[in-house]
Amino acid sequence: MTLTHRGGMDIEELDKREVAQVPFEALTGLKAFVVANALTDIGAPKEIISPLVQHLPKLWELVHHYGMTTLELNPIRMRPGREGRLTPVACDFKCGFDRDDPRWQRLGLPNHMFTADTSDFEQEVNQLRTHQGQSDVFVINDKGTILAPTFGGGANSLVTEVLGEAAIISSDFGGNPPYEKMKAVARICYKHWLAQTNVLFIIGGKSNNTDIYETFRAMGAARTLQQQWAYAAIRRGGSRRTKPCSWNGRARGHLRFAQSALPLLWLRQRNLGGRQLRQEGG
Amino acid sequence: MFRRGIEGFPYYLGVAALDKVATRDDRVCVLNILGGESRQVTPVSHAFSGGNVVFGTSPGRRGQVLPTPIGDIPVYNNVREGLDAGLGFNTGVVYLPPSGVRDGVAELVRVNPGLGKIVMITEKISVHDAREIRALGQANGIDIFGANCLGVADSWNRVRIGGALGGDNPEEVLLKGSIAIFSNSGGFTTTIAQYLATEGWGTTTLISSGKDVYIHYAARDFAYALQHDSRSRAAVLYAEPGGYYEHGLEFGKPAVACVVGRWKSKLTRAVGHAGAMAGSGDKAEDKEQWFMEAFGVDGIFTPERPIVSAKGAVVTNISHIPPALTAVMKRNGMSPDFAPRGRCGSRNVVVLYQPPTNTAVAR
Repeated sequence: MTLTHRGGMDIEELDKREVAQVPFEALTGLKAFVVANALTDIGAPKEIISPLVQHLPKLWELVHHYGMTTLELNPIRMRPGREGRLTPVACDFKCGFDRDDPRWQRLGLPNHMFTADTSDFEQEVNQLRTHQGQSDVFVINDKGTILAPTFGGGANSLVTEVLGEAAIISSDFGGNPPYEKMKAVARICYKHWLAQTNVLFIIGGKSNNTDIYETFRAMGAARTLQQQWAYAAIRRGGSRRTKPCSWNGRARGHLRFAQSALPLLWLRQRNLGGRQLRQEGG
Repeated sequence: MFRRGIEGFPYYLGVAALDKVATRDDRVCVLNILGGESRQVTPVSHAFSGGNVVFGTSPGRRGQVLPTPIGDIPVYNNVREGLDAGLGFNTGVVYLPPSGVRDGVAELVRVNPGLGKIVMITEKISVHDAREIRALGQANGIDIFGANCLGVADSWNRVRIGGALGGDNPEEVLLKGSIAIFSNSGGFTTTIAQYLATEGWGTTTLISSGKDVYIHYAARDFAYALQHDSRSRAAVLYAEPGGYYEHGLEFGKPAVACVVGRWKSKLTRAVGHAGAMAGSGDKAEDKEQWFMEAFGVDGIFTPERPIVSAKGAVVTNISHIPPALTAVMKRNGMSPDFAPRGRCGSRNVVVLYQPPTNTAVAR
């Protein structure tokens, strides 16, 4: 908890001696004496200590048990009442919610506060979230031409960085997604974006122990009726990434499947003498 | 509020050196051992580590086993049953669904007085539960790794605990050397180890920290343990925006920091890593600055502009990590651990194929 009696301005501008930063434990919560000690340490006026001691601990209940990640009240004003009693009133309230915690639903907030934040595509994809992994997506540029469904948080960061505005989406569908999930992800992405896609990036899917061929099979099986040609770029990760890929046999079967389903163009790894036109680095 | 661990830390920290993170003496219990991901990962970890998983739990499945290349791992309904069977352990690995992780941690802590470490693989744990898990660990003197991580591994000790670092063949990826890795990304922990090998650098300890809002074993803890590990001559860190974990660190040894995520400042909500959303002063650019100040450099290292010091270098592209490290180590008069192995970067990975000329192209 960061607390100061000099509210109404940016806390970063204050003298650090007027700001209390108080660690406390989540299991026992924010206790009244913690607030009292903090206010005393920073020389807060005596008349505001008691009202804040009474009310501030309740904020922890709000943050911890109603799905919040952060909460800021600035300023808090003291409202005089009968017999000179002061009641703290929050004149501005900001908070962040944890999307992974359903507790915020207890607040009964109106739906329109959140739905404007996500598009139909994003909402459809988010439904693929399970206890087995992520399904996060954000539309970067709905006029973009590179579709990059990405598997893994690190891959998401790097791909988003590299592609910038050329990317249609920034996404993380989990580092180790099963076949069914990859197929569902691909189906939804193709439905919304394949028509405008110039390049399909197949990124990740082998970051840990997922079989890259499963990735091909799933993304190929998510067939659409659209017959747009596109380039496909595959970025392999995982424990075999520095070895030549074997595109014969099993891989070629999947690639043929992908080719007929998507119609993606099939690729050959360089050392098999395929017709390589360009190799991307970095 | 917290048990006293290492002196000088305002919270409990028990791991004093990197060689203590994943040891041959660690004995492991896996919660939800028969879950989908554990079924694939645990047998490989167990075999690689010489048989470190003593038992696993899966309610209602007592008597079943998890087959591994070096023998079956027994499964019990709960932790107490395994302990009552005489199977002691000091490390818990949690593969439970997000809503069950907090109670799983509570079970490990309350039932096993010999517990010293917990590795949480699960992603999407709520911040609420993460706070309480932290409090449980602190009050009971338990080091916790994760969540949303791929565990820890040690190339010298030949041990892997938790997740799939090194993939299906950790013996090929975890090459004994002198570089410690600490990464917010699980997949990149493995990738960085492989990249380093292409310039002849092997690894000591690898830690996948996860990138949730709360990172239980964070960069400061790693920096301390690095300084006290005689095997590690340098370190590589991979960091994303969000949080002050990397602020004001002292490594005591050369280090390369890779900061990725400048573009994340344009997102209005987290994608993937829940903790990779910056607030005020913890964007990717801020972290780049922290590391530059720590290393005494005034720019980002690239092969074209190789800005380094003897203390370290900052990169924003993971493929620049190996040359940056080699340059830093050269400043320190240190040579690679072995001859280069494999080939780095995307040069041999991304291949584009042009359609035949008589084929229509969308754009």
